Amino acid sequence: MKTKILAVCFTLPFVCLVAWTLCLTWQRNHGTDVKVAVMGYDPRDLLSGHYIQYQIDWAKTDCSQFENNICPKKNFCREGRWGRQCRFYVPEEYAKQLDELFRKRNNPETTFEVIYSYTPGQGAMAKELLIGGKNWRESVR
Amino acid sequence: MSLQKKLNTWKEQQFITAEQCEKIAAFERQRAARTFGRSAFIIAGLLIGLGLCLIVASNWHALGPVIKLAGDFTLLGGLFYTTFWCITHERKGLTELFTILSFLMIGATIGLIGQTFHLDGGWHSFATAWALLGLPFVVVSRALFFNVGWLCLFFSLFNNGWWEKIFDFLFDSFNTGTVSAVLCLCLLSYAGKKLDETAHPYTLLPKAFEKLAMWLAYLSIFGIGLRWGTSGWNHHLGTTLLANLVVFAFLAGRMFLAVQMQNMISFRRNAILTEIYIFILFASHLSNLFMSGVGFIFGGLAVLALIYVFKRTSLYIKNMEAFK
Repeated sequence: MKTKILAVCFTLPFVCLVAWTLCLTWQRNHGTDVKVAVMGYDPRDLLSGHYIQYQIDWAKTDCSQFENNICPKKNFCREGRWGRQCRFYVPEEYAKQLDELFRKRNNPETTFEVIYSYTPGQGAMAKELLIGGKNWRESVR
Repeated sequence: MSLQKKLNTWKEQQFITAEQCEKIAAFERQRAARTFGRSAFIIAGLLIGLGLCLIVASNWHALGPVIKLAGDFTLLGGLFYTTFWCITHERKGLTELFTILSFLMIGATIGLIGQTFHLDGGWHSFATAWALLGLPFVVVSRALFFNVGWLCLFFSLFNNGWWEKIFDFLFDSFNTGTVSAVLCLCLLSYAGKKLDETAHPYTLLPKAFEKLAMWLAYLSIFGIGLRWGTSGWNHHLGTTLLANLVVFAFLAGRMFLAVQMQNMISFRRNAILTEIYIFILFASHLSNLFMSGVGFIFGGLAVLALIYVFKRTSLYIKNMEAFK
């Protein structure tokens, strides 16, 4: 009996993690792709660790992608100390190059945008980072 | 005096027989080896686990997300199964190793999922998931520090400004609430101790809770002492005196309990803490002196004097009637 309880207790975290991954995969694959413009939220901490921390520039984002032409600002990213903060994880080796490129983001060739998978009522999930309309990997080669 | 010397004395005094002496020595040797072995397994588990976390966190460019997640889950499943096997086959050292590895790997997996799906949840969400999913492994572990670590992780769930409020309450002003908070921590520690009496064979979590609550009580008391007891002799004499009274009453209370429970180690620890606090009280009035060459010499001599006082105190406590 004790062995069975132990087996259940150890299986449960594994099942939870797998189920969570599958849920996130489903959410990512079944949402509508929307493109939003990006701006830095804090120039000192643009690349923190292995992720880019940014805010969405709603003024430069095309709201006609969304229902009733209204940008659902509250469904994107987490509320932080300095407004809603979003993350996009990148390998550490590209952090410096991306940081330099981000400083030139007003140049049309290096505008930063993020493609989100958006499901109304379920929130949004970042899928791809675009620099000048292309995948970010092409800009840091 | 080492155990072997003590055993020889007892044998000479005919308190124990030669056979009993051999048995005690063999038992202690085995116990020491077990403790060393278990500690080595725990340290190895921590190092390997942290290494795995760092490898997962480095976000390999070469591997796709599916391969990374598949690899991670295979490793996680393997670790869980190995932990289960070690427990059912009563491999105590290996159980500690794989329990810690499994727990750390849960954290790494949550991090990898967050990385793969670009989740923007903060520490609060991460700690919630990690603490809850890792609970079964903490329950089966017999490593006290691991249980204490889990409790710290668990209590960081309430990190949404709650701790700031508690610290503001404790250290922004000195009032009855501050003293009540310390008393509450002592009561929580006592509750943990009582719970541990029943739960000890199954889990160390209540014991860890008891220790953590008491450490926090000490930290709070020293916080009160350093914040309110060392300054303000000229401006807030009443508050300063009261703060020192609270610190000394707490330490005296702990020493009284130690005598009641015949716990010499606890008594000695509290006596030494009292001496350190008295030293701090004096040193805080000599801060300008420490900024000179004479001050450095004086500081060094004061530390030597403090060591001498500690030794004398320990010797005195060893010979106290209360512990005979």
